[in-house]
Amino acid sequence: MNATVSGGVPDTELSWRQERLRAAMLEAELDGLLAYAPAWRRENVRYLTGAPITGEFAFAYLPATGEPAAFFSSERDTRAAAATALVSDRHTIRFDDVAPLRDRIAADRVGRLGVAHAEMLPAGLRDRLADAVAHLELCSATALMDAVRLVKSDWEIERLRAAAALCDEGWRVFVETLRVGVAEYEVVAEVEAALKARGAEDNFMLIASGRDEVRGMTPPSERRLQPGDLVRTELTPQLNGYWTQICRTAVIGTPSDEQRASFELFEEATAAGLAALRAGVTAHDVAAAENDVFRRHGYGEYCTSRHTRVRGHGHGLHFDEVPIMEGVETVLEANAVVVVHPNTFTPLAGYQVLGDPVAVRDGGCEPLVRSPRELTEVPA
Amino acid sequence: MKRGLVPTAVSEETRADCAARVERLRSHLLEAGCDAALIYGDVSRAEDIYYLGNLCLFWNEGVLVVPARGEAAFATKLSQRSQPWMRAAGTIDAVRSGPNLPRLIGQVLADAGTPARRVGLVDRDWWPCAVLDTLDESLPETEFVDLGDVVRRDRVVPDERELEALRRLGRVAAEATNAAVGLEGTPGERIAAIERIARSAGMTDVFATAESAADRSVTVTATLQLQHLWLRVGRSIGGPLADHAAAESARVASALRDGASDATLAAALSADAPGDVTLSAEAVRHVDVAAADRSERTNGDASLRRDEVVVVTVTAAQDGGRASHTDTYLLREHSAELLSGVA
Repeated sequence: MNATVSGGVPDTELSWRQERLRAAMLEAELDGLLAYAPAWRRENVRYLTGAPITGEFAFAYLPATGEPAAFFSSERDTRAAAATALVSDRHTIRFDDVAPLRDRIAADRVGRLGVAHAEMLPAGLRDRLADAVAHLELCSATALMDAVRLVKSDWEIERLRAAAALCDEGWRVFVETLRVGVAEYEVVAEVEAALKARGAEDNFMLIASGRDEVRGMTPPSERRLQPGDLVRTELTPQLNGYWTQICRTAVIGTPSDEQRASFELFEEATAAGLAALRAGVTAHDVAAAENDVFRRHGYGEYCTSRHTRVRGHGHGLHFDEVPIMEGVETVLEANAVVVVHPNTFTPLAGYQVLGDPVAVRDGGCEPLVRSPRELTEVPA
Repeated sequence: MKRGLVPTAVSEETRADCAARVERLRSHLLEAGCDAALIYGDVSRAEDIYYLGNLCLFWNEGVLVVPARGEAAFATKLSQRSQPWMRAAGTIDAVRSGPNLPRLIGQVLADAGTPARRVGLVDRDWWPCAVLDTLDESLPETEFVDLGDVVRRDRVVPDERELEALRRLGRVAAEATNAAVGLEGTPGERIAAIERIARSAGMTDVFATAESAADRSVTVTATLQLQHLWLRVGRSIGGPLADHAAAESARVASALRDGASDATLAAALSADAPGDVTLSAEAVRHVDVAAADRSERTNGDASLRRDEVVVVTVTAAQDGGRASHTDTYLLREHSAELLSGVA
């Protein structure tokens, strides 16, 4: 996180977002939409306010007609929202005093209110809003906002491209830092510094080093790299609000036959997922294309929840949007942005990660990163 | 998100400290007549869980279950694949994973043979509605009571080992902030200097900011985490208000002592600030400092007490310009020890 405020969101972008949200609200028969942002899930409030907030919680409110409003738990965030100027009705509120929010909802005489991230709303805040919402019909609007944000504007995709360029840079620095004896957390320190120097607001990053005993990704440990290690990373910088992820694996020294075989399996699965991706297919279709490769090679059991979670996911103002999994029938429309990654454990060489972020297009997908998908060899 | 060092081995000292903290929580449970305590945490708010179990919740959510009798257990939405390193890095051996936290909590209590007639929720106000509402379904016979910030209160006065860690935090924060302030560069480059130094020193997490104000000053702030402990340092440079903030910070520091309050700090500020410069001072206990700005929690609390650790920010503002000076102190009876010595 840092506080270098990005350029403002243009009026046309704001109008586009509000029109799409209001169309979805009309369909859901909502008079108002209230987005709640806890400290770790701020995407919906950022979508409505453009503000790079850092406080403990925030709300953004969009009525079916009329002016939106925003409510922040810190003065700093209220100032940040003033700088973006997307919402003119701004307030700083306290956990134990949410009167401005209550008053606004009451003044608008809202009958049915959708709340995005309602499930994350702290009990104390709900209690303090109880008077204002007692007469309302409340419903969750989390899925509504997820669906609206799934499809990006061209303006947003431009920002995702810029974040993807940071992925390439982060991976380059990651590889440069790898050497025998360096600790995992020291690698992360260098990558973080490089990303922040280039303007990244934040970065979600996992790492795992070792051989075939590695079963999953972890936070960085004190483990020092050894010859023969695979070093895996999911590297996910956030730039101007937008997150993009690259997944790569490097090997310290010359890869073993098993490590090569593992990489080839993952490359084939990634390519299959990307080949299946075009506007109109479902998340299931993409995941099945990836998993079919594993099944064909006799590794189908490693596509289950015992060994892995998803075969990719959406990107945007949150890094882990629509899950790409078998059984998820969400249609990936044109201008959705996703990372396709068949990351999982196999007995070939342990956990492996490989994946590229792409923008979904009518006839296929547009790659957003330039780093080649290869098993990068680092001198031992 | 946590991206700092999470060691995969637990020292005997840490194991003993965590055990003692759990025992202290159990004594609170007995006083409250509870069969168990539930402590909710997510990636942005999990210091209580770290304090009790040396568990770093690097992403997602979890609930630490501490029965009045029997072993504590951790229920988390993180996958089963996370369990080996969580067991290695923390002091909680029993870890359960799954998407439904209330159901996991019910299973943990049943496994422990805990009757769970009356269960205490730590910081109930901060529990997400969805988890809280479905707890009733998983434990229909249970009465839930709010234990408030019972663990936070235990954390307010650090013990000797925590103080040692805070002093280490202070040294790293000072080195990182000095580096960021001393270089000529973009805000991102200043932030990068803090990131590199702090993460290379093994900090658990780092939140650095570099904000430019209308008067062309830059305010650099480093908020660092080591285990469950947070500390903050901040400096403004390059504008006419920066010197004001520094001078006023020294005045406020001299007023810090046992019994100091918001009023004490305000009274320490110059009464004759030049022009229309507005001065303010804010003290936040270290247990209320985190990645997200939680300063509001301390405001209105009782006076500061000796042996507490506080982050003090003095701000000078004028015509859209803004400078601040932040340091972290250990309060003594008649003075305060600076933990974050920036040159």
